Amino acid sequence: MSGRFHEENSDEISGRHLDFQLFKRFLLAVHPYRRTAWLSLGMLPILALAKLVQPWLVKEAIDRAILPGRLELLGLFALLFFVALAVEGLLMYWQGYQVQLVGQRIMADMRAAAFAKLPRLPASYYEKNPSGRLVTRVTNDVENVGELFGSGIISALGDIVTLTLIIGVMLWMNLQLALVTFVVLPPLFIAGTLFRRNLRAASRQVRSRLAGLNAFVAERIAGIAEVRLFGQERRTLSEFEKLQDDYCQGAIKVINADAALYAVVETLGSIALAAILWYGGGEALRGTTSFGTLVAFIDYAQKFFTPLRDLSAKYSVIQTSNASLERIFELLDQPEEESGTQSVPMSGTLELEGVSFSYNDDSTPVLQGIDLRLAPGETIALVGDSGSGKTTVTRLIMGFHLPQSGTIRFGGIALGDVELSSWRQRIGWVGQEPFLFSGSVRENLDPASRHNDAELAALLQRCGAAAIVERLGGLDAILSERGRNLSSGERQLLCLVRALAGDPQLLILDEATSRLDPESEGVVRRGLQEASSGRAVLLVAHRLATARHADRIVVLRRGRIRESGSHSELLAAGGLYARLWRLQQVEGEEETPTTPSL
Amino acid sequence: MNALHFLTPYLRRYFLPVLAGALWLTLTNILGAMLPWLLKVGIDAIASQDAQSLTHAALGLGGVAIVRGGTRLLSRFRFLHSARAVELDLRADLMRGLLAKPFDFFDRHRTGDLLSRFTNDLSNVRMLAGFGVLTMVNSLLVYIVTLVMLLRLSPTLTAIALIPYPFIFLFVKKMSKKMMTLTTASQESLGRVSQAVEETVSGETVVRAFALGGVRIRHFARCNADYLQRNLDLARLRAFIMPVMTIVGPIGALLTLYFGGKMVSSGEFTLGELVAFTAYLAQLVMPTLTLGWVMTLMQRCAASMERLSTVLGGEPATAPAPPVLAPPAIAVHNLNFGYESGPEVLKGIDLTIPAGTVVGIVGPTGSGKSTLLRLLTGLYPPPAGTILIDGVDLSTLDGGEYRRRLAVVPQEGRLFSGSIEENLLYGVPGGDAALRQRVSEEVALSDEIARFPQGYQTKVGEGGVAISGGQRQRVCLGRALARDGGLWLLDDPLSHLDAATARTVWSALRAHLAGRTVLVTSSRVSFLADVDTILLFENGKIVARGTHAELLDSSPLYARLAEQEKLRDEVEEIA
Repeated sequence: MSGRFHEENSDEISGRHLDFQLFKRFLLAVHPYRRTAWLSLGMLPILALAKLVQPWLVKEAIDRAILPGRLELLGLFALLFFVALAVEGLLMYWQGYQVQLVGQRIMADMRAAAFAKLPRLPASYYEKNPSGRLVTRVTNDVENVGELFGSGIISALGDIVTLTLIIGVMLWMNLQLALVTFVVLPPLFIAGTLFRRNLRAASRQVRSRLAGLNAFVAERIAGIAEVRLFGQERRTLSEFEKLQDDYCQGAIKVINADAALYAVVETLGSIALAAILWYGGGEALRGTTSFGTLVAFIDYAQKFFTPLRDLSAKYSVIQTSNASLERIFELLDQPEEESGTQSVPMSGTLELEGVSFSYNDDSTPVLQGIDLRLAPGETIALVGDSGSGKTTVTRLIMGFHLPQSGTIRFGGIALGDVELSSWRQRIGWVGQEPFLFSGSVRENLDPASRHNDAELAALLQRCGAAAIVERLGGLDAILSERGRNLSSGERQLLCLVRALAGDPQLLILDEATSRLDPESEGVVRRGLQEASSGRAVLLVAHRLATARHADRIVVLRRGRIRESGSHSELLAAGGLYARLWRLQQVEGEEETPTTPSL
Repeated sequence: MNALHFLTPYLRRYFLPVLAGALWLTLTNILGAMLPWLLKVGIDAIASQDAQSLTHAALGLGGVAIVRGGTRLLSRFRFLHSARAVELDLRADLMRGLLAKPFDFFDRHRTGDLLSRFTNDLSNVRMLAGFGVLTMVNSLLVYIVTLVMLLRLSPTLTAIALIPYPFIFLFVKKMSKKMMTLTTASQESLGRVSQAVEETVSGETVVRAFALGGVRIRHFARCNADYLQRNLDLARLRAFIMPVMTIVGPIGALLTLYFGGKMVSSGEFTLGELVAFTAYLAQLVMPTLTLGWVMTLMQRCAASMERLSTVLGGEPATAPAPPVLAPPAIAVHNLNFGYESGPEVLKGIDLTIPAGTVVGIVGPTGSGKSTLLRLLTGLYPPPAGTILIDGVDLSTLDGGEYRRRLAVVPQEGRLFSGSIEENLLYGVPGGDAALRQRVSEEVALSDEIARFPQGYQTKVGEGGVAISGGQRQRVCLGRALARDGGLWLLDDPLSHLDAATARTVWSALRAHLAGRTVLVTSSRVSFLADVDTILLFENGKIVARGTHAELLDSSPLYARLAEQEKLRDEVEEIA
């Protein structure tokens, strides 16, 4: 959680304004909806016209109907005014919805594209990036970008069109009066530029200080025991207040700049009004300008200043969107997992030859010179203490990483050349952490929908998981997030069923029975024994009792194979395995191998 | 909960600035009311060919505009600065409340959940305290001032022109309710989208191993489509509300034009009055629209305040007094304890520890060793009368005062981001270089620190991630050493150290601990060979007690633990 704040912190500092490359790429995302986008863009001038014709109608009404006392014409102008209003309303509804439609569809597309990227990223990407960051990309960042089209680009363009048209209409109606009115524009422009620059720097500072403040809180909540034990409550509070003060100083700056900008725009608007009254009034006095024109000018001037007041808000929308857009594109540009194209042989022996691997190229290797052969129908157990590289072997076999040296082959074809997803479909894997998705039991056990109810029921029966599924309420019962309504042993059992549901050629069990109580472990082992016939099984075990009945036991130590052989051979050899065996005998009397074998 | 009621005590502290803000705002609105009036004077002056009045009106307009800019600025400063101050006060109160909460509060609430009160909920309240209050006061003032002016100009026309307003008000109210419903639905849908992403990311290995990419993408597509649909529903409503709101003002203007125009023609109304009337009417539009927004804001705030009030309240312990080094005697009588609604972790514990003795605690994982130490820190209230410190019931002692006697090394101690020095001296903020050098030598860390390019100023990263586990553990030990106390509670303090370093640190520590009351748990039995008494825990009970030698003889479990360790060391040495 707090990691996210740090990350946002750094994001804020790099947040930049409109970048042309970025914008061009964003337009590509708009491309599928270009018709609607163009249409709503094309509506902008019509919408502006419908809005701007209203003051002109008032002018005409005053000059032609009210002042000459031709009331029959007043009704007509009122009707025209109403029509303009109705057109404005309808267009606004239609256009507003179309813009949102495009914006929302772009967002949905981006979410889908970003999500589709997730399974294609190499495993190493997940090792290096905190998971919270990826979630933020697909959710928050996409939300921010959604604003870019509607509240950002279109609304900014709409404002520009309206402002341009107002300027045009005013120049057309009365050139001199218009120029007098525009006297306020240069100071407005200067004030705007000045404040915007200040505002941008200050609001960035505020956001980063607020992020720092929140990170501080997050850390103290996590370390509340330390704060208490060392009696540092008061000190924590005063440190917190110090951070708050820093934040406040920045925040006050933003408030002041914002309030000042608002007041300046409002004041200049009223001054423009005074200028119109003074100059236009003088002309009207001399009869060179009509009353109606004067009134219309007053109206136009007001319409001119309204959009300018919230310009800074729009600017910050675009700014945030850009930072987010940049991050989404960065995710989309990540290199994907590389896969070969060759199809997997129907059956074959898995061979590891001289395999060495390290997670970071420069660090000490996790595996060194591993040689292993696993034929169909054979069961090999990998044992060794934590950190010896057992799990890494399984990850290499599943093609999560390619070894730095040596090769892994199945049926004579190197894994690097094989089409990875079809290779993985041949493997049934149960990991240390029994992970289930929220959704129905069926979706979890048989995600590819290969089996009918009867087959699934038989499978559940064989694995001893039928009772669990029954208790949950059948195959269509819903598992809560991460399967929280199950014990970890039950989750592990369901993971096992899921692995077997794919009818795999190779079964990889990474501490697959570690969370089961002895009774269900017995049930599972019987099930596995049956299931493993004809399959190659790679068993990773910390508890040696789980491993002892394997055809061959391979003892890993610090990334190298130390010993290999059957249980009795290894015991007789009196090496590392023999000592580990003795140690575990001492550690837990309940571990004595009375449970049925695999 | 009434949102404004909650804010009152905070706003009351800034009564004067808020009042000043309200006064400036009143002035701003009165000046604002003068603008259309001056317009009227000007236009009427044209009609009556009075050039002088026209100039006066125009100059007046400019002057009023400038003064009004100033008062507008002052009113906004007063209101928004007060709102910031309220935000700061509230946040400080939240932190204060958090620091004062009973320890199990943090077991019941997730960090993220607590943190969101500091962010989302607080920003809702700030909005209400700032723009919310500003808008409410402003709307009220604008309504009063403008209505007075409109009625002065023409009561009949006012009645006609205001026809749309009650409808608009009802419309806004109704729509904001509908908006809330749709927004909630969209938020829930977003929750499902986030969950789908979160699961796919954290279940990344499963997705990869089972080649479930396609399955997950199809699942996500459903969530995504649902979210899109809900957002489009929301967009449709927004697209509907926008024009309705934008057209209200002009409709009033239209009615004014038609009926007012007739009045001008018939001479009962001047053109200047008509223009002024339209301008006043225009001033009513914004407050009406924003009032709807404020109402939604208040609803949203009510929920936030409910959440904030669970954290607020209480006063954290006072400033830390110097540690008390006198070793206490500890007696535990028939102590049974379980964490909230969980099973009992400690069962019928009885023990007496004379002042100044060192007690070792061993036993398998989950046997209750750490829980006993945790109860002795006083963070969790022990059942009354079960733990006596120097004969006084621990549950009656003031926590902050009691902890002056403690030096604690928790099992997985947390460091705070900052330098090594800051962490070593966490309990003694004023500590000097000599102290940090002494403690880091005692925990055999000084050489390693000297090798860091930045020495003591090396940043440890969040939670200490930037240094190794063994270094982290020794900083935790050093931190306790710098603080010191009469009662030491050490929970497996050497678990991350290799055997040789552990032995060095332990012997340095032993010397330092002479004369203190010490409870130390250890997964390594061999370190406890020289302690005064060893307690052997199993399943929440003390199953054996005595010295190392006695237990080796009398307790098979203890003997097995010792043997295990020996074998583990042997295996370790094979490498």
